[in-house]
Parts: sequence; C-alpha cells; structure tokens
Amino acid sequence: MTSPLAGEDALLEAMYHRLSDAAVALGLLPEDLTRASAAALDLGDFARASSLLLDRAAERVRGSGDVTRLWLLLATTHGRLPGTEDVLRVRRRFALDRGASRPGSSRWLTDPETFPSHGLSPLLSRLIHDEVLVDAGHTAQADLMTGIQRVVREVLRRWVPSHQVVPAAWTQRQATFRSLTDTELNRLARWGDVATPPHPETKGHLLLPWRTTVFLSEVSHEAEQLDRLVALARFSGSRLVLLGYDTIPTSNAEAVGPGLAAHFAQYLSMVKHAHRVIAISASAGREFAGFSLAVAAQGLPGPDVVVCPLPGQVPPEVDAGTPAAVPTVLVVGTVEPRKNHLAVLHAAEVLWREGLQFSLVLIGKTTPAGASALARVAELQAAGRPLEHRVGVEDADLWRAYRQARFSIFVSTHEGYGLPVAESLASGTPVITTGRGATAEAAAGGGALLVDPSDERTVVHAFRQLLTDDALLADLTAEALVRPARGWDDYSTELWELLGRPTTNATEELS
Amino acid sequence: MSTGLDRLLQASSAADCQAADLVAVLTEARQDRRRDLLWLVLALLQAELPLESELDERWWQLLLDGPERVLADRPRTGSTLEVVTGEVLVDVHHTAIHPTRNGIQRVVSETVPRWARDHPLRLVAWEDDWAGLRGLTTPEQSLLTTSGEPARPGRVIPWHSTLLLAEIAGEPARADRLRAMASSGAVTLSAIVYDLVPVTAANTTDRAMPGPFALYLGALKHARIVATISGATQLEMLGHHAMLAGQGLPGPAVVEVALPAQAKPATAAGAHALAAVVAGGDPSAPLVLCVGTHEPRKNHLAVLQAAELLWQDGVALSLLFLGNSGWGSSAFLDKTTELQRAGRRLHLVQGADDELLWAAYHAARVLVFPSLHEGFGLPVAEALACGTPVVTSNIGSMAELGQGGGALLIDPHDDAALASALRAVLGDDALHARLALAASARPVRTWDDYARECWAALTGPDLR
Repeated sequence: MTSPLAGEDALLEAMYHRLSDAAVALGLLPEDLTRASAAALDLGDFARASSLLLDRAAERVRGSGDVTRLWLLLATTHGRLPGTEDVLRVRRRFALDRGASRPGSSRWLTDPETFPSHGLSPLLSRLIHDEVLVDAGHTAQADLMTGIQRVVREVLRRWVPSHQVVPAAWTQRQATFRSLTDTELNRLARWGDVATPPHPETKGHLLLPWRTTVFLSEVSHEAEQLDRLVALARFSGSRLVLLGYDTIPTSNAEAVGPGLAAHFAQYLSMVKHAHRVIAISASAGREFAGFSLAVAAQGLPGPDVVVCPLPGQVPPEVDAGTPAAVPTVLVVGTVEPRKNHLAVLHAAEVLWREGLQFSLVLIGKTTPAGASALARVAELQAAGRPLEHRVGVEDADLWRAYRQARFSIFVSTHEGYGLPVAESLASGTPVITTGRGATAEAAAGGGALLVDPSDERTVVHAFRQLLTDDALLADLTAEALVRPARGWDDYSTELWELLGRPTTNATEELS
Repeated sequence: MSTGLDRLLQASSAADCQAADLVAVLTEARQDRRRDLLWLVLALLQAELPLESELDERWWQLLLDGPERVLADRPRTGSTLEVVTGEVLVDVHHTAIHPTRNGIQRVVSETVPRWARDHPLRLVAWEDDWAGLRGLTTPEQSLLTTSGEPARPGRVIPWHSTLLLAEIAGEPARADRLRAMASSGAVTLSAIVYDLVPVTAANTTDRAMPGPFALYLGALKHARIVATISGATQLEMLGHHAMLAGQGLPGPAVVEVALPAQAKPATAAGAHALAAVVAGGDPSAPLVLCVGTHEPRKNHLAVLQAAELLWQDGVALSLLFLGNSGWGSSAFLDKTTELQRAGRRLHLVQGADDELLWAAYHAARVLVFPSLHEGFGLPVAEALACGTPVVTSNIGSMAELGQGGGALLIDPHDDAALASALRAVLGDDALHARLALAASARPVRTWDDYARECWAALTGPDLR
C-alpha cells in the first residue's frame, strides 16, 4: 500500500471526489470504495482516502488493459485532459509493472518527475458520457461576431434546448473543458428568443468526455489544447468530430503568411486524428479529404469527410431604405489579396472611364496584407470616383446594403464557403462571382454570373453587363428570389444527424 | 530581324535596355495577357527576381494604363546580369554554400555532380538577400562538379528555362520569387520533394518550420513536375494537390523516383571505434542498432520500452543509438539515463562519423527503426544494403522499403509488437538467417540509377 498522498487537503478532496464520481467507468468495485469512503467520511482524511482510491483505481485500470480507462484515470486524477505523452508514458510504466512484486502502479500517476509543474486541479468533474460535448469556448467568451462565431451561435441556440448537448469552454490553462457560466450561456444564445436552461449542476465543473462524441465547432490554434485533443481522439474512446471551414492557411499559405500557416499546421496535426470532418462546402470537403489522403503516408486513416453546406440566410424583412441616385455595386469581404479587390477596382475604373454611372461600396475590415488594395482605393477616391469603403458595419446595415445594391461582386481566388455570395442571393441581389470552388457552389442555384478571376476581362465584361443590361439583371434577380431557402434550422438539423453515433470501441489497446 | 525581346535578352544590365524595346515587350504583355513578359521586364530593370506582390501591382498598372505607367517610376540598377534562355538551371543553394551534410544535402551532393557530368546545366545559388540568382563561385562549384567548367558567378535571370529545385526552399523570400517566376510562366519549375512532414505532421517538427515550408509548397503548386523520393511522399504530395482544387490549380505531375542505398564497407578504424563504444559487459550480447536524430517522430521511446521489456525477461542485447539530439529529445535522454543507471547495456553516440556508422550497420544483429513518419527512411535502406535485418514500421515509406525483403514490419504504436519482433530476430537464428539472406538478395540501386531516373523525370514530358 502506498503512503498517503502529499498535498493540500482541498486538492486531494477534489481528487477523491473526481475518482469516486468516475468509479464505475474506472472499473472500481464496491469493496474498493468502502475503505476509501470510510476514511473520507469518518476521518475527513482525504490524503488517505484519495491515495487508497487511486491505488485501487490504478490496479483495476492496469488489469483491465483498457486504454480508455487509463485516459480517464489520468483525467480524473489530475483534473485535466492528459496529453499524448502523458498517456504513453504511464501506459509504458504499467506495461513494465508486470511482476507481482511491483509496488502499486498508482505511483506513476503522482510521480513528481512524471508530472512536475502542474498541480492538481481543485475542481470537481462531471463525466460526459451520454451527451455530446460541444467546444464553443471562443464564442462563449467573446463579444466578437466572426463568421465562425455566427455559425456556433446559430447552431447551439437550436441544439441546446432540444438535444443532449453540453457546451464547453477550455479552462484558463487550456488544460481541460469546463462548463459555461450563465453569462457565457446567454451570450451563446443571445440571437435567439429561446431561453437557455440554466445548468446549475455543472457550474464550475470540469467536463470529462469519455466514450462519447466531442464536437469542435471552432478552430483553435492553442498548442496546449491540440495535443490534449489528439490524446482524447486516440485514447478516450470518444469520437472527435469537427467543423471544417477551409484549409486555406496550408493549401494557400501565401494568402495568409507564414505565421498563420504555422499555427494552422498545428491545428491540422490534431485534425488528422479526428474521426470526422463536417465541411461547410463541398469545396472545403475536398480540401480536407486531400489532407486525409496525405496522412495515409503516416499510416493514419485520417478523418472521414462529409459535407453540410452552410445556409445563406438573411432576415426576411429588411428596410431597403431610400434608393440611391446612381446604381450601387457592393463588394463585401475583408481587404486582403485573396479577395481580389484589385481586380474589382480595375474593372470599376475601366467602366468609369467608359462613362458608366455607378457607385462602388466596399464593406470589410482591413488587413496589413491588403495595403495595396487600400492604396488603390485612396487613389481612386482622390481622383473623384464614387467609391466608399466601410469598416465595422453592423449586420442590419450589411443586409440593407445588399438590398440597396444593383448587384454585388465577389471574385475571391479561394474560399471555404463564400458567405457574401450566399447572402447577396438570399437578399435577392444578383452577384458576380468566381466560377469555381466554394463560390461556384454557393451560386449554383441561380442569380449569379460566373467569371474567371485570373482573367480580368471576364470580370469587366460581367460588371458592364449588369450595369447596362436591365433585362439580364431582372432575370438574375428573379432567379435569386426563387432559390430554395436554406436556413439555420435546416443546417442545425442536418449537422446533428451528421455528428454520428458515439463509439465505445477503444482505438488502441492498453497492453 | 531582331525584335525588341531579342535585344532585351542580350542585355547585360538594366542600362542596356532601350526604352522602345521595353515598351514593345510590355505592349505585347498587355495585349496577349502575358505575365511572363512583365516578369522579364521587371527582372531586367531591377536586376532582381520579382516578388509576386510586385508583379501583381505592376500587372494592374499595365492593364489599365499601359507600358509607360509601368516604366515611369522604375528605378534602374546598374548591376550586371545575364539572361539565361532555354537552359537547365539547378538551384543548389544550401549544398553549395554550407559544408555540413544533412540528408537532403547528401542527396544533392550525390545527384547533382552526376547530372553535371551527363547533361549541360548551370548551377545556381541565391544572393545573400534572396533577391536574385547567381552562378556558383569556383570553390562552390568544385564541391559539386568535376567538369572543370569555369565558374560564372554573376547574376542570372532565367528566361523560358527550366529551374530544377534540388533542395527545400524554406526561406519565404526565396519561395515567393520562385512562385512568381513559375506562376507567370517565365520559368518552368521542377523539383525533388523529400517529404511534407512540416505540414502533415507539424507537431513533430520545430515550431519555426511549418510556416516557411507552407510557402515553399505554394511555389511548388506552380511547378511542372516533382519527383518524390518515395511512394509515401508521392501520396502526401497527391493529397496536398487535392487540397488545391478550390484554387483552380491542377498542381504539378508527381512522379516517384525512389532514393538508392549503396552499402559502404566497414573499415578497421570504424570497427575499432565501434568496439570502443560498446566495450564492457557481456561481449556476446548481440548489437541492436538504432540510427536517427532523437526527436519524437523517430519513436525512440518505443525502442527503449521494447528493449526494457526484453531486458526484464533476461534477453541479452546491447542497444546502440547513433544520432544527434534534435527537437524535443529531453524525454528520451531522461529515460536513457534512467536505464543506464539501472545497468542496462545502452550506448548513445552523437556526431558519429561515416566509418562508425558503416561499421555499426555491418556489425549489428538488427537495425530497429520504428519511426512514425518518414519521407524515405535512409537507415532502413542502408542497413538492408549491408545485409543486416531490420525491424521497422508497417507504414509509409518504411513499409515500401521493407517489402523488398529482409525486414520485419510492426505497428510503431505497439510496443509489445516491437518487442516480440526484436525478440524473434535476436533469438531465432533461422529467422535471422532468412532475413539476412533476403536483405543481401535485394537488387542494388545506385546513385547513378537515381540521378539518371530523376533527371529523366524532371526534364521529361508531363505524362498526365
């Protein structure tokens, strides 16, 4: 028998409770619990209680040969998700503890050399076994509204009331999932009128997903998280499913620069161990499928890839405001080279020189890489062209701009989805867009003119057509208006179906 | 009759370029949408290879306002230069400049001299600021050829030539300029590709690697042909190309040209060095050799675990690691110390020279190489070429090598399987003899074979 653990009582008490809460999953028997609980209840000696319990749990887990239980043992003992090296190290130690003369294997979990710097967690834990854990931490903690955060909110406010879903965030140290606070839950659901049910029982708990489904709705580059997610995918028996937005930082690194490319490569190191990627477009799906193919060289199956296209939904009633004196052409998108603003500005200037009357409105934040496009905007403005660049536009104003525009133009060279195409068409506004990849998909239902962004003559031609050919514009507008509506309800329902069923198969044996 | 373009191609500095010729070439570029012609003019005027962003900015100026606008504010540099038209150039920058020899530089220094012997070509390196290409100096050239051709170290601008990239262009500016020359059509780019580890297994590399490496892949997507050193790397490259679909790019043709492995004999000096390393203890304990940098991808912790399982069972073996400490090696080094303190026969040699390496390959009972990811797996090929049996991973390039005979293949994530394979090859003399015989019977693949096939692939037709 090992000597009682050293440490603060409160930490050991939390460890004791985490282990007893997971007792069944760890394979502990009633007699294992009896002496420990006696120590805990009668004497209040949590050092003794937790060391008794840990010792029995380590022996049960080692005897079971089940790596999912080893993963859970590490998670409950330390109160954080183990990293891959943590699991492999203890698995190797257990494998060498073959002889009966060996002392308790639990020492490998508390060995200060093995786990030097991180202390035990003071928090209690909740085993997530029958529910889907959804990582939505960034969205829950930030008031930003990026494209990703919009997807997360629209989906979760539909899932939380009707499905067995536990939204989660990462703890400060990025070491494990925790339950959300009321503020965070409200922030997630803010767009809806659905009242979020409070989760008082999970307040301040660590969430340990075991043999269930974990869904990553966001993209994280936190190294501490990524390796723990790899360990979760490999060893916890949970299915790791993630939303695949695009692979642009790897497949088109020059569009984002080496910094983001480096972070994204770390993200992909996690993705290769995931079980499924649900891509937001067929084009994004092909990119992830290509990555899955590439990792076969490492003997990995890679995630299977399915597609659930995002909806392009705008509110039905938007006040279009006063019609502008000259037709407006709208360009929505971050000012960066990939969005190809220089091609649009070129086409506009060619047509202004031809004497066509229109104003151009750019909506989208700026980036350092977009400097040459911004300089060109300034030049054209200085020359007196009717050109406006708006930054930080609220959704309502964005949708009004779509309705007010004669048409919009989005000739990006590479997209994961092409939200401005979908939103323009959903507003009943024709769009000129790139005739390949995700933008072509978004345009497929009608209402768009497709161009080749590498040949600016096609852009100029389409631009001129939609300024001068009222009949064509009317046809495209009519096409846009009769497109089948695909909304967030449809998307959320399909997405839930595509999560798939949890598996109870361990991915690797603990031998 | 000489055209404006012909005259520009003879220029030996920006000052030689006549304004009328520049205007004529840019006019053609504008009319026929020829970005390669714009690339050439910018390269001539600056005596530098253009960046993609420069090319782009000037492209829009040219299309909208014509040649005069492009030429209006061009500073001209006085540097001398040579336009190299219709030749084959080989980018050997690191191998020419640095005396060290990593795996890639070894391939370059074996292959390029053979190319230079058999084909007309020009070896090039980059200027210190990565702004342009230059010929090699005489000392640089003497490292890579024995052809005796005079060095031509001046600045060169390749034009409608083929540039063979024999190394990784892991510097952002180098990758950017390669991309601009290839995507504009000014130069045909072909390359040897070693592996895609920094983007397919970024967790196993230094954190500084994946960003620049992704930019290098950005240049390769405009290449014509790439020759991968294994079928596994070919698969990685094809997967990467599938990721390009959304950009409307087909990516280059991907041809596998497997690396060779030629055995070198053990020398007396090498044998002495080896004896000194493994001295002491039971001299009859068979030698288990593991070659490679100590980094997590090489899975050396699994080797230690398997060896300890055997030592616990009383199996005699002496374990020798030849390799330097790399990224993330501390867990391995700690474990090594622990086992050595426990009296296990475990030896580590850093900075081993070739003589010790080849002596060890020949003397070892078995090479163990359970790597998680390789572009090729040179130690596997080299040990087999010496007739030494191998225990290696059942995945990727290692499985490819192992299928040629002489190897036991195991799941590198399964320590117990690794231990039983080692136990078998140590304890079962008949099995060991069969493996050694199969290894010796493998066809010999030489550097001449490799150099010939690789040249044919990179300069031959695109067979898609």
